[in-house]
Amino acid sequence: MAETPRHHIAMWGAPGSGKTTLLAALSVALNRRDDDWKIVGQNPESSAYLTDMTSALTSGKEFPEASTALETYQWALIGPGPTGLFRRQRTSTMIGLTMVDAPGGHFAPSKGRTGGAEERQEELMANLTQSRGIVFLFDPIREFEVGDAYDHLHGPLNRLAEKMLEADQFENGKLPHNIAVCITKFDDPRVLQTAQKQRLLSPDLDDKHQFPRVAVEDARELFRELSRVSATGSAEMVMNALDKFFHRDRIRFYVTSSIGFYLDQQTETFDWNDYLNLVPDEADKAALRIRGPVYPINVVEPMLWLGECLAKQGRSR
Amino acid sequence: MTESPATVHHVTVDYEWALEGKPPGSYNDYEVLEHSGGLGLEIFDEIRSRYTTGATGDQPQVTIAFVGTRQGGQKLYYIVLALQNEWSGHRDGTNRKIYYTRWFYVPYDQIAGHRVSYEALYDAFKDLGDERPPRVAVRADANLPSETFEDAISAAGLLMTGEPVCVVGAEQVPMVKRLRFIDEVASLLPYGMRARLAAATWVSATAGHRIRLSFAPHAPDGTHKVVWARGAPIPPAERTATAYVEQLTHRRVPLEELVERLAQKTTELPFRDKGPHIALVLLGECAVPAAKNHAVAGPSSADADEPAAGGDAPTQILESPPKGAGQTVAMPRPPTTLGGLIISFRKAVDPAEISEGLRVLLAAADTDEGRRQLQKALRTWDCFEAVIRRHPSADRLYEELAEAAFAHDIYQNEIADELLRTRAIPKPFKAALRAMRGEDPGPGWKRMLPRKGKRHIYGGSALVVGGVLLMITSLNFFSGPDLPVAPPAGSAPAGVAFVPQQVVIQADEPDQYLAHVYAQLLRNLGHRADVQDVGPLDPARPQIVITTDSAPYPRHEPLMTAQSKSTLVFDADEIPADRVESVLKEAKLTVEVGTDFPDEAKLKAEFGELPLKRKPISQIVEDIKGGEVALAILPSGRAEIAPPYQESPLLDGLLPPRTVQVLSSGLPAGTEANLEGVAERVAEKWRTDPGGADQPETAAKFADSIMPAVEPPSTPPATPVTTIKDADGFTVPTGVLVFVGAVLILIIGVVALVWSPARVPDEPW
Amino acid sequence: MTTESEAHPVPNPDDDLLRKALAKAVAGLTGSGRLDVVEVAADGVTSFKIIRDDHGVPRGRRWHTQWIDLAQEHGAQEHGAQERGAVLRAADIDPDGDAVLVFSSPGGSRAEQAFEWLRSARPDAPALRVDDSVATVVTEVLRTDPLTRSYDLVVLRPRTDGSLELATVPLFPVQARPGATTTLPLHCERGGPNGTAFAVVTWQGHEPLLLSVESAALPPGSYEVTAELRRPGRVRFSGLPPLSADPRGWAALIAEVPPRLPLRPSGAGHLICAIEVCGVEEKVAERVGRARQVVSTLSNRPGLAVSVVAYGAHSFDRSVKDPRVEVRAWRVDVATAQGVLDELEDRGPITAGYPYHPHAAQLEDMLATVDRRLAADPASPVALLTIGDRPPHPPRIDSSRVLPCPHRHDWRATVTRLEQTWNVVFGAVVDHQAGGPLPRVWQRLGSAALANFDALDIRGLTSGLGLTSDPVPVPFPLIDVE
Repeated sequence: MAETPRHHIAMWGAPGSGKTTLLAALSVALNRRDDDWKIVGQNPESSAYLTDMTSALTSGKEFPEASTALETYQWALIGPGPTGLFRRQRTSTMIGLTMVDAPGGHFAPSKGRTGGAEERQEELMANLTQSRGIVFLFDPIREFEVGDAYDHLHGPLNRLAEKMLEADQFENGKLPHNIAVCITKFDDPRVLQTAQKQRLLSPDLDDKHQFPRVAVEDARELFRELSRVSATGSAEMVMNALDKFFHRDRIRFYVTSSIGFYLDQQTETFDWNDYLNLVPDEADKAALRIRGPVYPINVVEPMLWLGECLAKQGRSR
Repeated sequence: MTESPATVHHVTVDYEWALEGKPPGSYNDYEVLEHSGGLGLEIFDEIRSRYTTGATGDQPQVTIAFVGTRQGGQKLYYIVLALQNEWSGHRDGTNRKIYYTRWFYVPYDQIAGHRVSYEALYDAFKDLGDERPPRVAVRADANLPSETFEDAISAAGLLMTGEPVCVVGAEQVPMVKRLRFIDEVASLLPYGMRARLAAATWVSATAGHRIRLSFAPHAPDGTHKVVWARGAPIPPAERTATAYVEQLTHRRVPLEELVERLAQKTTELPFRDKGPHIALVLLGECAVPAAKNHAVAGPSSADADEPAAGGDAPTQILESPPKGAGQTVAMPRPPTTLGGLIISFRKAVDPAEISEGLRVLLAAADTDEGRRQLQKALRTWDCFEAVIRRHPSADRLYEELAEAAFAHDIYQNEIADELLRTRAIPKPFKAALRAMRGEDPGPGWKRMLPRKGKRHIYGGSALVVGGVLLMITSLNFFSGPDLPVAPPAGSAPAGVAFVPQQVVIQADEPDQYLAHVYAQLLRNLGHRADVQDVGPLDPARPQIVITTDSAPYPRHEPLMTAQSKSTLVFDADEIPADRVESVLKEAKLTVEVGTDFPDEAKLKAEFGELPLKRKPISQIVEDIKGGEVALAILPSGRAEIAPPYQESPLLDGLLPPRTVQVLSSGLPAGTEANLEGVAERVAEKWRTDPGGADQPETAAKFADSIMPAVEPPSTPPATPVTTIKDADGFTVPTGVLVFVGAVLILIIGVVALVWSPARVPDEPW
Repeated sequence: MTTESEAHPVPNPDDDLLRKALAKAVAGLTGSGRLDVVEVAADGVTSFKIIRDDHGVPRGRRWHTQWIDLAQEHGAQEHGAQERGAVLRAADIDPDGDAVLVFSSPGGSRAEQAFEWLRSARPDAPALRVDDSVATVVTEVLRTDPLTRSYDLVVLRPRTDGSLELATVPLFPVQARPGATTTLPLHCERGGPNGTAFAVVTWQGHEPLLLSVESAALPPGSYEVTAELRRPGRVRFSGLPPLSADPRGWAALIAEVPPRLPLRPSGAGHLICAIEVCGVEEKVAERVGRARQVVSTLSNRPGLAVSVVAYGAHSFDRSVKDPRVEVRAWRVDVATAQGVLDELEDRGPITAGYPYHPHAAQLEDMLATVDRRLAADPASPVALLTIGDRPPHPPRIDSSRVLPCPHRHDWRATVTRLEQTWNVVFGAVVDHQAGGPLPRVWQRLGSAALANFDALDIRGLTSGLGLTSDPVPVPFPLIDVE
């Protein structure tokens, strides 16, 4: 089989911001769509990961454990071909993705030059310099409680810029990467209500579940609004840092939720009175389990956008 | 394996420890919470992050690693033991469980020589919990295994290739058993290699881990795969590994003695570069009976140099000359002098005489003195090229010659170097020599050019590719735009070309039906497939093998396994249950059996001339329904066997159950997934009635019924190259794009030829 | 309150003059002042001391000294200063108080002389000459003195939530004259050993002063009571069985007032026990044990109907069905109820572990079920005793992040409806650890009787629920009782 061009996409975010959960929800999200995009593992261990994680989210109803090692998955997004006017037959497009999911600690500012942190940074940089797609996860709840999103951004970002400059990969003054900034945990009542107060909710009419959504144009506004409540107030700098280092047309904001909202069983529609999709676990009082079926929101869109951008640039690593 | 406490001998060792986890409610990642004073935090932290296995979840696991540190000018090696996934009872800031990992560092020199097993270390530390006694007693002289299995031997052998080994198919095996397996493999290696062995009872297949011997659900590419409880073939190109396994299997000492003597070889020995060769030599010494040993000039001290990236300690590299040379046995020899044999061999003419002469010659040259004489003869007579040339399998002879002459002192051997340099020496001989020296045995012409020529090769090949591309695109230009351009490899943007495969299907005689079924399935999937029997194929070529023994195909993907057991069915009205045996003995009634009934000989042996009538199973089933048959042998568990017909257990002992395995290799992922999807129904069909008279047609019909022919996702060969439309809507003619690409590759080729890049990138491991 | 005109015998002119003077003087008497009325009669000098007691009731005392006594005092022979002093001492007139001099023995020279002395001593005091005894007139005036303080009757008024409030009802306003009567409807409960006390009080600033109290054992019921002011300080009640004097003091009376109106166990009474049967095994067993204790203490009540309702926790997993609220028994007698409770205890908790919500229970569903059942048979007064510790699920998502009730029941609305339409009395036994305020729901559900799970006061609970066999005595009459 002809070796398809592979695109490297790296997940970037603080520990517990939902990187592994987002990947776990990817195949469920694709199954929820009615176009025929699908995801297939390109080696046995990557497809094993897809099946395990999907069953963990749907039947096991539990969140993935904190990842301890930097994982690399080889997947292929297969979907409908480009529908141009002149195209007579429909061909399939296939985007080869190499997803890199590093534990959040890799991005943390290293306290002192401990050997391990050095090694972890090397490992991380090796991936980031190769990849041209980045999924940056901004966890508003963590930002509200701890406020260290900027710490997990500027360290690795400067190191990345240094390495790219050294390898002369800058494109007219900015990094060549395409970056999808995902605001996660949209299903948390505090985030949903913030969006509602700012009147950023625009329901998607043909969505039979009538989930509240934040359009891509408003997502940037919601990001700014959520940064304002940061515990250390350093969140505004995240926006500026992103604008400085990435081209304006290569940044896109998405408001995402890996587990989505709880749907009323009978009406299968969103119910403003009862939408929390988490239920406390009796056995271990503090534990939270996923309550109902999972309806990921905006989990596939960033991947597709990144895939298409990378394919367009013909950049294959 | 438990011995009475009295005889268990213990050795008390110091140790350093570290606790890895998170403070409750922490928002950060895992870190070293506390550690003993003996070593600095940076060493604990670095080893912790270097040997992460990604095996999360609440199953306790064990990881074994090593670290070499420089303390006070003196080098100290530690064996590292990590007890992972201990539930801490707390949760972190985002409500996830916090798991503790307890790291224990045991100085290598305190356990070397006492044959301490990893399991003993695990038993010593696993119940410590939070107490920290200054010293710990570890069970020594681990008991010696009476027999070992093929998976352990092949794992040990594969370790000699220097690449990591991954054991698959051990999901259900309890953790302690897996730890014992690691011990078993390590006991087949010189003890010194334990100072450089990183092993783990479970790893995440997708984590970029650096564990050399690991267990995982799948073996990532770039690692050798060993299936649990089943051996694994050694790639023929890996000469040391093959020799190692050879020595292990054909050892001339009992296993206990071998393991015990291997355990004495305690100097640190790496798994890369020269380490495996030294290990082979050490094994050689241990594998021969000790009594007949005598000193022979041992191999000179190999400089076990090891580049840093190999996962050794950052601080320094260790030179460790192997201890005293091993002894080789001197077999009693017939008096005829070696010189005479050489002369007679040189006169040999016909192939039989040549091979016989060589055999005698090599047998005689078994002593060191003889070997040196043989080496000189090789130099003088250009490896008897004039003689061996006339033999049909000359290459094999050259290899044997090289093996016999230089096996024991391949390094620092002037004669070997000289032979390598002289042009007249035949190529296979030089290849054998180089393989024995552990250099990349690669195709001869690659070795011909001096090392720095590699850059020229890259440049040259880029030049060729660029030229070909240029020619295709220019041809395409002049012949008009609508001619669909064949998708040039590599540079085509995202569009995929669905290239149909030529798939070969092989099956033994009785499984032709299955072969035809799969052939039709593949045709339906758009590939060309046909049933042939061409013997072992190269795994890279797309193929499907249907066989009852899957051992010789380790790298193949199992598509389907089915088991069919046939039993004797009799008509209770005609033959009462107790008289069935006597009726069979009298051999009056005919017994209807399936067309490809394999065990006819057995039946005849048991019941003498029993008349058998071969009919397709479906036909027999009709007869049973109609009640015309008295005795029949059918696959068991058929719905149609209703009273008055009953199954009799009489022949069960006689008719062995047949398990059939369908293995595939080289098939595209999508096709494999499709075939696996229908495996169940195929197995069911095969179990019930494996094909009537005209097997190919019924098989094809059945295959169409379960998977109709699907129009391949895109038209065959000349698929138009698909392009992703740019955001602003105009399509860039791909022809132009390919042309530009070709020119670019050309330029790169030229540049590579002229200008030498700063550093050829080091291969990853 | 109607006041009749005073009935009087026809007064002769000078009596009338004396009466008017005395009445004016007595009316002018303030709380602390004193009025001296000296009568110089033929046989001697009589001095009347009139003061007002705390209640403003005029009280008089009389001293009489014969002329001869006077003589002995200063020896027979010399008249003049000593005799005058003796007469004045006998008269004992308070120099700064009011005084009235009366001459009632015409012709006697000594009386004339003494009168002259008295007049000279108190020229400002009015001096009158009458011809018959002053005593009757004085008592007559004191008896007809208009009230200087209003007289009130002590009663109990039940508040809406059943607790009792001490109050007074005005009987006679100030200036009321004896013979005034007021009639008012009263309601009496069983009064305990001393019966129901009718206490008249006057107001000393903000403090009520017990003027008089009479009591009698009255059968519970409503009465039309007429109070008549016989004379200042003396009120007579009619329309009641004969009252007798009551020795109890004000403090003793107040002490006997019960905190809340004991429900008249007129009907048989219907106790609903709602028990939370989810959570830890021992807790469920304990809750059922508490319910059995309450039921067994009421076993001697005739005709008591008991219902047992058990509720668990909501399940929030599609595949696991939500356990329904079980009405184990409805309006059964005590014995059957105890049997049902035993079954409940053996069964133990019905919902445990995931996916049942660990922090809340189906309280709102239980209330809705009880409401539905009561709509079916709204017969006798109902008491709902809830035994549990987990709060209910809210109708919508709120700050508590407890998942809302799948059926969207609103427990607040249900509780209010139960109170208003079926006037259910709410009692609760809550396992509420100290620390932190009692959640709103338990304050509502334990409004009539709230008991802590560990320190359970069965009697207080049952009486609070109005189901106790021996009602609490109510010492005072009640007014405004629906």
